[in-house]
Order: sequence, then structure tokens, then C-alpha cells
Amino acid sequence: MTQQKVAIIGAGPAGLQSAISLAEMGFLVQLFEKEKQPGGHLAHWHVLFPDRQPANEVLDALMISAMNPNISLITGAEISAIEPSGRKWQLKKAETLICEVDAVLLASGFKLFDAAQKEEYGYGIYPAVVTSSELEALFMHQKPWPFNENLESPKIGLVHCVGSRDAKCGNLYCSKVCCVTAVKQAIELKKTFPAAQVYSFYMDMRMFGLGYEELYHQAQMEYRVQFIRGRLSEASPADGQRIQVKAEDTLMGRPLKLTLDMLVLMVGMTPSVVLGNGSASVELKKPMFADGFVKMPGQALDDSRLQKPGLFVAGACKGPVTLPDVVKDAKATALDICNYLTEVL
Amino acid sequence: MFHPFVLPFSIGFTVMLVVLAVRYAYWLRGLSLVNRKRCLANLFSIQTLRGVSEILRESLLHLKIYKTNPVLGFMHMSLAFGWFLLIVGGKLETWYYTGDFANPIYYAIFFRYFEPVTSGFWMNGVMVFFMDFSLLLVLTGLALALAKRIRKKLVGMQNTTRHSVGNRVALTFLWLIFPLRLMAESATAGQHGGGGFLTASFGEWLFSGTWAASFEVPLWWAYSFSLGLFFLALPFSRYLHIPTEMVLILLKQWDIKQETGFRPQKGLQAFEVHACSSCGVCLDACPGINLAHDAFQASYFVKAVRENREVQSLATSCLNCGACNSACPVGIHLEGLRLDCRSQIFEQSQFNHSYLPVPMVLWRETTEVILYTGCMGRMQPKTSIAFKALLTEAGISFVHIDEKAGVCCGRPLALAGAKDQAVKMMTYNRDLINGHNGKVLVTTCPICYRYFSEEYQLDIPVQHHSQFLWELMNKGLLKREMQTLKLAYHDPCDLGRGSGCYEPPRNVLSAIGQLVANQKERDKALCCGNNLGSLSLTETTRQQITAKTVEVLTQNKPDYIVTACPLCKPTLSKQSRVPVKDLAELLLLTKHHAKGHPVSAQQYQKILDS
Repeated sequence: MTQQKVAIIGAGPAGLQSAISLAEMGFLVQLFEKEKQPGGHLAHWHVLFPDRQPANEVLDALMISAMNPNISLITGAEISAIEPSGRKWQLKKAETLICEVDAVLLASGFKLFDAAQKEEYGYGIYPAVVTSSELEALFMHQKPWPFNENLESPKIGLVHCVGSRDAKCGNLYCSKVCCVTAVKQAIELKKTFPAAQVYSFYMDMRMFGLGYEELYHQAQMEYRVQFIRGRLSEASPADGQRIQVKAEDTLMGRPLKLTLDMLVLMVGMTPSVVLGNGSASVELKKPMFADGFVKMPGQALDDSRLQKPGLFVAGACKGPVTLPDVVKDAKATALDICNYLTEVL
Repeated sequence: MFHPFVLPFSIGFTVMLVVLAVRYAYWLRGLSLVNRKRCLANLFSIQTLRGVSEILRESLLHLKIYKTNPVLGFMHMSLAFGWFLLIVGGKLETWYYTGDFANPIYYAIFFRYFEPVTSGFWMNGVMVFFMDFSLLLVLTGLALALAKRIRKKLVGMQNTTRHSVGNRVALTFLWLIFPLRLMAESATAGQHGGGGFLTASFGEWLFSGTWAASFEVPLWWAYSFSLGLFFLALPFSRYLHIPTEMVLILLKQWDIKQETGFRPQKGLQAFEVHACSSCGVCLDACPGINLAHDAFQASYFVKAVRENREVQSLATSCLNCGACNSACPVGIHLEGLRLDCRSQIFEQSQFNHSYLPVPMVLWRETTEVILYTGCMGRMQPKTSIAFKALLTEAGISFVHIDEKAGVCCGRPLALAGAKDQAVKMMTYNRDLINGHNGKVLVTTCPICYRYFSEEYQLDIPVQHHSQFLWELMNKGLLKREMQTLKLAYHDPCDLGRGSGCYEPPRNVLSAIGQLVANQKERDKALCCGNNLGSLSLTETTRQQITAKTVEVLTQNKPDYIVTACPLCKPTLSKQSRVPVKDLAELLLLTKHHAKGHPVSAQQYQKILDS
């Protein structure tokens, strides 16, 4: 009996973990990654909430487990369609056949919201406006800080819900991880610049996970981060490279103006692909305005199978999710795939 | 000359005249004192003649409807003008044959019953032909109207107004009048001879037998009843628009001004809401047609006002893009009417602008341009940066007066019905503007531009940045070369329809690229979906409107969608795959290639990204 093959699209945490689980079960895994390096967004993160565990520790552990003879990782490979061929599936890039497998797992993750869409926040116009993802790169010293590091007390603002819970951007959903990420990043900022004044502009603080609320308290009590309930209306240039922001403190019921040395936009998650449903094949298309995440038909009891037998989905391409939940989902989906392949035989 | 069958007509007609006279007198009394004085002053002037000529063009020939939709125009023209010819012809006929002008009205209406056979010189033939021709014209219009009820697309309409039961009853009587007249005249012609090419041949074909004699008088009765009942229903149905439109035309010619407040029961507003014929031309013009939950289109709004129904949601949903206003063949101030209605709704709103500072003038700086980007402009810094770079390139000095601090121009508040709050903003801004010694006020926002031009009465001219940029290009202060770019221009509501500025932005774009056309341009342009005018339209509906607009704009595959409004740009941009730029941004982009070879759209994107 020949070994059954599974193709996984996306080598982020979801793709890597399911590849590891499937390989350990004895299946041959072809893991496709469109970027040059595997790891997805995790590869660009500094430390993780709520315990501030270094992200590279987690990624390294995954990469070591993925060094399995059953896994072949193909980077720089973008898949554009999945087509059925008998009981098997063919992965294609444009018209070129890439491989033929018994099952396919879509783990293409999410894309960060393009902050330039909200021109009023000045991203891409003023250098002092950065995204939460860029802030991670700043923590890792991959870029210089957009203000004088010798400033005794830099003023830094964090804006929640950029591109999330925003009907005007076509995204009504909550991206789930940004609130606690903002709390974590505020603490990291205070650790880097102990005298900094850090302001966090939020709509609600959604501290749903274990340890999140504690972190939020720590940020307020220990690190003196100021949390202001209110959405930012605009950012405009002030003297030098500084940024003036206008917001409303909705708890105090008054408008406020602040001049900041850096403004961090907590960008939400948006879908990375939408599935075009042709007659038989499945196209992986670039999302349009208000296109949602991949919709799962099975809902509560089965959220890994698409309606076509042999096609599975795991991780953040189904919607915003935290890293531990992605890993659990990847393991569970690997089991679903195993059951499917055993049934097929 | 009398027969009892003339009674239904005579009674209906008299009642109508009395009701109309009473209603119009009441409405006229409701005009403001200034407006009443204007009426009197202009009553015996050339304006009245102009009004009569406009009545002829619009109420009878319906030239404006004809221009937007020739088939629909012909339908209205044949019904109205045909009937008018019948009435005038009838009167002339009785005058000619009796030699007496002052005969009873019914005599002209039922003339062929009293005088089946007329004789005379050549004039008799002309008269008989003329009357039958007019009848045929009306019947043609009627056939089209019937066809429109069955299949609206036949007359080139996507949407037609849904009518209430009362109006349909009146409509039935109206439609019965002319076939019954044809039948009655034909019956008389068949029995007694006479008649024209239509009635004589019909009479011979249908009513020449002796058995038909008993049909003649009942047909005249039926004709008279349908006339009488229609006239009776007219002042209480939408057909009131026929005489009211004529009065409205006169009032407008007499230079009657818009009256403040929402009082649709009297004064000018009463004439306006009753002059609406529910023709439905505004429906196809509305960008929100068939999208919103409420059918809030002008035709339905006016109808609800007329019927004294709840109009809040209808008044607040509308985007105030002005498309219905410019499409209305009767020229009703639809935008103004809605705003007046809103002022009533928002009377009790709690606005608090007490925190507004008083600008202090210590030194009046002299400058060529006073730049005002407005609150929406603050949200689109790329446009402001680009425009300022262009001013610098052209060597024009400027002061950006609301860069650090500014308040709203006031129009959004006025659109929300809070005119008094808008006045506060105006006072603040006027002080701010007067604090500088500038030659011209330039704004990058069409909303501000319209409000500054219409309401502020500043000492210096006001320009939109598209106008100012075109002037700079014209003077040779901004030099650009033609590029291989396909550009689609989106007319912002307040700039195009609102301020009549269509050419300057197009001129600027034509100088740097090829302007591609689409099916909804200039006064027919669609709204981006995000006009500040709407207070209650849902985001979903707005996004459906945007999607439709983007679809129209990208019809001819442009490289860029270009607009000139800080509200249109982000709205279109979020939903469009084709990049959306402000006019100033695109003009700045082309600077780098002023002396080089034409560049492709891909190369432009690279410059933008860098």
C-alpha cells in the first residue's frame, strides 16, 4: 500500500502543527508556503500574550517537530486552485499542476488589515504612525524607533479596533486578539521606555482568555498605562514628527486632544483568501470589500470539513483566533483528515 | 340647447372650480408677506407672459420630460396637449358656427350631439379634421399610458410610482373619457351623418344600423359621467397637479422665494407638493432606488407629505445628493423641502457648541490663497498635502487656516436640520477667514465649497480646488504633459449638481490623461453612497449604492477613478479595485514626469508606493 498524501496550504502555526500531527500519523505531507520563510505572522512577532513567551521559542519548537521525513516544505509556492481528479485533488498554480494528493488542508491564515485604508489615522503618511505588527519589529530592533530614543518621557498612543468592528471598512467582526495584544504591547513599551506615557484608546476591553484580565490589571496598576474609552477621530501632524490626535473620552463625555511621539494602530485580521466555488474546482481568490472568512457548513460539531469530501480548513482562515486555539484546531483537524483517509481506503 | 346628460359634467366641473378656488386662495394667503408683495408687483409684467409661455411648454408640451425620456414625454404631451386642443377647438367650433362666443361650456363639450352635421366653407372641413385629429392624439397617449401600466420598460422606465386606490379610481375615469367621447361622437355620426375621418368611419362601421339608435344618448350620458366624476375627483387626487403646476410656474416666474420652516399645508410648499404628478422620473434618477428598506424617493416623500402621513424616516433616509432635484420636470425644490421637514424633526435636538472659542485677530497675514480643508479634509491628509505641494510648485502663497484647529463649515448641521447651530459655525469660520488678508478662499471639500458660496456671503471669492488648479494650469503656472492614463471622473454631488461645477475638474484631467466616459455623468451622476445628507440610511444600503457607483465608474476600465471630494474618495476607494485618487493627488503624481515620456499606470503605482 502506498502512503496517502495530504497537501497543506500555508505553513503558519496551523499548517505546521497539522503537518506535524499528520506526519506522526504516518501520512505524507506536502506543505506549501507562499512566502520565502515558514511561520506566518508568528515569525514576525516578538513575545506572546499573556505570558510574554518569546514567539521564536514557539516557532522553533514547531520547526523542530516539523523536521520529519514525512513532511516536505515547499516555500515561495502560491496555490491558485484546487481541482478534483477522480477521488484525488490536484493543486494548481494558474494552469500548472503542482501535485496530486488524497486530501487538502487550507491553512492560509489571515492578512493584517491595511491601515492605509483609514487615511484619517495617517498611516503611510506620517512616519510616527505604525501598525501593531511593526511595533513587534521595533521591539526586536529590526527598525529604528520613529522618535528620539533619548526622550525622557515619550508619549505613545495605541488605537484599538483599526479595521475591526468597523462597518465602514466592511468588517463588523471583532478580531479578538488585538485588545490583549495592546495590553501586552503597552507593558512592553513601558519596559522599554519606563518613563513613557502610554495611552490606549479602546471601545471595549475584551479580556476573554485566562490570564488576560490579570494582564490588564497589571498594565493599569503596575505600569500606569492610561486606558481611554473612545475611538480616535483623526491624527494630524504636529511639530517635528509628532502626531496630534483627536478623540472623545466617552466616559468623561468630553473631546480631547493629545500630542504623541508615536501612534500604534492595532490592525485587525482580514481574510487572506476567499474560495470561489466553481462547478467542481475551488479557486483561491483575493478577497474583495466585505468578503468574509471561509464559512464552515458544519458549525458546532464539525468545523473543519468543506462540503467537498477531502477538503479541510484549519486555523485563522475561518476567522480571528488566538495562537493556542489555532494549535488545538490544527491537531483536531489532523485527526479529522486521518479519519477521512482511513474511511476512503 | 340643452339635454339632461350635460348635468353630470356641469356639476363635476363647477364643483371642481369652486374647490380649486377655495384651496388656492387658502394657499396663497399662506404665502409670506414678502412673497405676496412679489406676486402683486409682478402680476402685470413680462414675467406673467413668460409664465404663460412656460405653462405652454411644460404643462402642455412637457418638453422637459421629453428631453429625459422621449416616449414618456410624447405620452404626456399627447394626453395634455391633445386634450387642450380639443377644448380650444371645441370653443372655436361653437364660436364659428353660432357666432356667439359666450355660449355655455357644456355646449362646446357636447357640440356634436347638438349639431351632428355642420356645413360651411373650407373652414368646416378643417374644423372637423382638427377635432378628430386632436381626439386621435389623446387616444394615442392613452394607449401609451396603458402600455406603461402593463410594461413600464416599453416607455423606457425602470421604476414607476405605485398609486393609491383613490388615484386609480380617478385614473380610470380619466382613461374612460376619451374612448367614450369617440364612441358617443361616432354613434351620433352613424345615426345622423357628419363627423370627421375618425368619428365618421367609426360611426359607419359600428353605429349605422337602426338598432344603434338606442345607444346614442346612453353613450353621451356615459361620456358626461366620466368627465363629471373625473373633475369631481381631481382636486382630491394626484390630478390636482395639472392645474397646480400651472399656478406654480406663475409663482416661480413672479420670483417667489423659498419659505422657511416646514408648512406643506399652505404657501409655496403647498403648491409644490401638489404640483408633483408622481410621474416617477425621480425614481430612476435616485442612486438608492430599490436598495433601501424604505422607498424614500422624492415621489413617495412628496406623496406622504401631501397625504399628511408620517414622513420622518423618508426625510432622513435620503442622501440629499440632489439627483431627484435636477431630474424633476416640474422643478419642485425637493432638496429644500426635505431639509425643511428635517428642521421640524430636529427642533428638539440637544446640540451643544458652547465650547467653541472666539478666534482672536492680532495680525492680518496677507496671502494669495486662504486654504480651508474642512473636517472631512482633515480625514484625507493626502489630498491636503498634494494640494499644498501644487500651490508651492506654482509659487502661490497660502495660509491653511484650519490646519491646527477648525470647526465644521456648518452644512452637515444644516443637512441635519440644525440651522441655528450651523449659524454658530459660520460665525466662527467667518471670523477665522476675516482674520487673514487673502485674495481667494480655496477649499478641497465640495460640501464646504457649496456652503461657503451659498450662505457665507464673504468679501472674497470662494473656489473649489479643482477650479483653482485649472486656473493655475491655464495661466501656465502648473505645467503637465499628456500621459497614457485612462481616467474616470466621479462628480461629487455638492460640486456637480450642488454647485454646477462640471468642467474645471474635467479640464484638469483631460490635460494629463484620457477621460473615459460612463453612463451616469454630470447632473445624472450617482452618489458615492456616503453623502452626509442621509441621517438614517443603513451602512449596508450605503455600501450597495457605493458598489453600484463603482461598477458604473469602472465600466470602461480606467486606470484610476478620480474625484474631488474628501467623502467620495475614501468611500469609493474602500470598495473599488481600481485605485481612487483626488484630483490634486493625481496632478502631483504627474509632476515627476512633466518632461519625460508618458508613463503607464503600473509605473504610477510604483511612485505612489514609494
